[in-house]
Amino acid sequence: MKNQRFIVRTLSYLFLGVSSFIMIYPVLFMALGAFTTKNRFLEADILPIPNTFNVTLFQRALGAGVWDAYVFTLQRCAFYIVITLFVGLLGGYIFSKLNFPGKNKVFLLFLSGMVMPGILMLVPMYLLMAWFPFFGGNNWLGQGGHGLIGQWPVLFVYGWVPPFAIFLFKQSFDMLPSEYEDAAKMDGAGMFTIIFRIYGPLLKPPIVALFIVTFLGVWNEYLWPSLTIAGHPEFYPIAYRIQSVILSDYSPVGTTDYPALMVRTFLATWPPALVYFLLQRYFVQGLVASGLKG
Amino acid sequence: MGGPLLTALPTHCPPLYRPTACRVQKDTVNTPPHQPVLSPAPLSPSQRFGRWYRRRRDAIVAWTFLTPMVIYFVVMTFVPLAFLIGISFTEWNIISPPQWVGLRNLKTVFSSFDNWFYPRVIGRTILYAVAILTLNIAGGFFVALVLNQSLKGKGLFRTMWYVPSVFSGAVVALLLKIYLAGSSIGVLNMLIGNFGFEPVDWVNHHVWMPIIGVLFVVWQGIGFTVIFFLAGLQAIDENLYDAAKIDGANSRQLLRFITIPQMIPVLLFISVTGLIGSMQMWEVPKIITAGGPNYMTYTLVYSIQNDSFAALDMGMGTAQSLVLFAMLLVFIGWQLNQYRQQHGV
Repeated sequence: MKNQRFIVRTLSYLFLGVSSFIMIYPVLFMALGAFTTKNRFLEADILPIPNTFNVTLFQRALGAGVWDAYVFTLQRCAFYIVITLFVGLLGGYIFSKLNFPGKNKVFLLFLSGMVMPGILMLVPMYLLMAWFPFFGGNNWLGQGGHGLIGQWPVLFVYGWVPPFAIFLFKQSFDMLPSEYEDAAKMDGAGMFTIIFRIYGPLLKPPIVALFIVTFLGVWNEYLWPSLTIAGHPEFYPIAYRIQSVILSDYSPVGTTDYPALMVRTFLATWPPALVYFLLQRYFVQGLVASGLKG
Repeated sequence: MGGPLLTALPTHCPPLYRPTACRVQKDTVNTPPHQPVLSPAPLSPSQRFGRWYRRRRDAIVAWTFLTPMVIYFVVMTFVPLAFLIGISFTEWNIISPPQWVGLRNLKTVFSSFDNWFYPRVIGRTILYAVAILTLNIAGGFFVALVLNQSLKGKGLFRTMWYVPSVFSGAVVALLLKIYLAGSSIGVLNMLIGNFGFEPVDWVNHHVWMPIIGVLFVVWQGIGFTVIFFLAGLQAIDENLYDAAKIDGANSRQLLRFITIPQMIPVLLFISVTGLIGSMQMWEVPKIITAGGPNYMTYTLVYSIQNDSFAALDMGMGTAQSLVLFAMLLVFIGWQLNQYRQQHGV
């Protein structure tokens, strides 16, 4: 019996060690490759062994547009994180703690948004943006110009009512007893005070989970910007910008300066990884709690 | 917790309705109906408003904030959906005005046009989705089972399995493109060369490229599955296992009769979210193969993008979007129905 358990544990470690290594191998290869010289990289057997920190490569990549993309993408991340948390908390509170006619119907309406894959909406959303009134030469009917297409607000106007955030916060509010707010109400606290001062500190796990989800979502966004803002590199989010930055030096055949390419992918991928490493405890807690009960 | 005031609140109100229900209760306690009100002075309009506001406070507050949210949501979700349906009945290249063609686009999607081009796109997409979903769920469940033991460094392994999911699909696809480059000093060819294999032209290979595409999607999505399965496993009541062990169940029976039935809700959640994800393979065709070799990676989502924004045929793009939407709804409905039948709810 004891012998059998030992075997199971050993096999488990072996399996986990090998499989986890395979999972992170492509990314690890890239991260290590960013810190090697060209020749050393080509000598790699399984992983390239770092032997240099080539500042020039990093400077060149940052100067080629990565830095601008960092600034712009971080602005978008901040904007969407604030919107998501504010609307999510407000909506979650309304659906959880207030009682009013039509509540379940409106909640179902928002939930239906979670089933609809965003990818289906590409074409109609593109048209909605192209017909946006008063922008890009459009009249009040949205005709005559190209609307928001090719202008930076096109990356800021959608997704202000995030169904997933509302759902997650409703679930979290449901788990907190209403006695908290009754005491605050007697002291004359308004609704926003109740939401952000009383419940806010108690809702740290879902708030952090949504912070991460929103950050990753906005940071990694590629498809929508590639359709709507193409031709205006100063407004490219990082995932889209990095493509042109990489492909400028990439050739499918012949000698490619791989470390230079790895530096660029590294610059686009380290922030999501770092945010996840730092906050993953809350992430798992917050997401899983909602998903399993919903 | 709370002072005497809080504990004095009636506890028989259902928790969801407690704020309003309790307030009404308190008013009636203060002025019992059988005691006549001494001075029924007429209320001033402001008093009347005040009373109305207090009684309807929840509804007023809720709808004040919900109205803009609902309007925004409808404009951003259901208006595009209406566009989607409307445009699918037209032939339109964005520049000249749209022409009404009725069901022609939808018929083309299911017709033998161009040697069954579109049915083959759909079939290919379903095939890949099934492969992705199977690998994702089977693999994710196995890894979660292994991780669910008391092992040292479990958190590290879990993190390593999740890491691929935090990156932008487009950026890692770009990385994959660099790795797969065809020449003998392409990274992957260089690595397999170290073990004595001949270089392969991966991107133009009929067998390898679809497999790589499927594995890429699994690689990006499986961490999510593992985390959810793991949480589901940890939520199972230990007593169930103890009771079964006393009855002499072996470990295989424990898995078959306790673990798997208890995991059905998580399984349903994962299969619905996973299905939506696995039907949407687009990074590999868009960034690496352009649908090749010989349309082997030409998936439905790539076809939608290609027809809409490269061929400027909005009608065909939206018609295919509708087909994808309908397929997703049918699959999700079917899965929910299975779940209901098994659980009798």
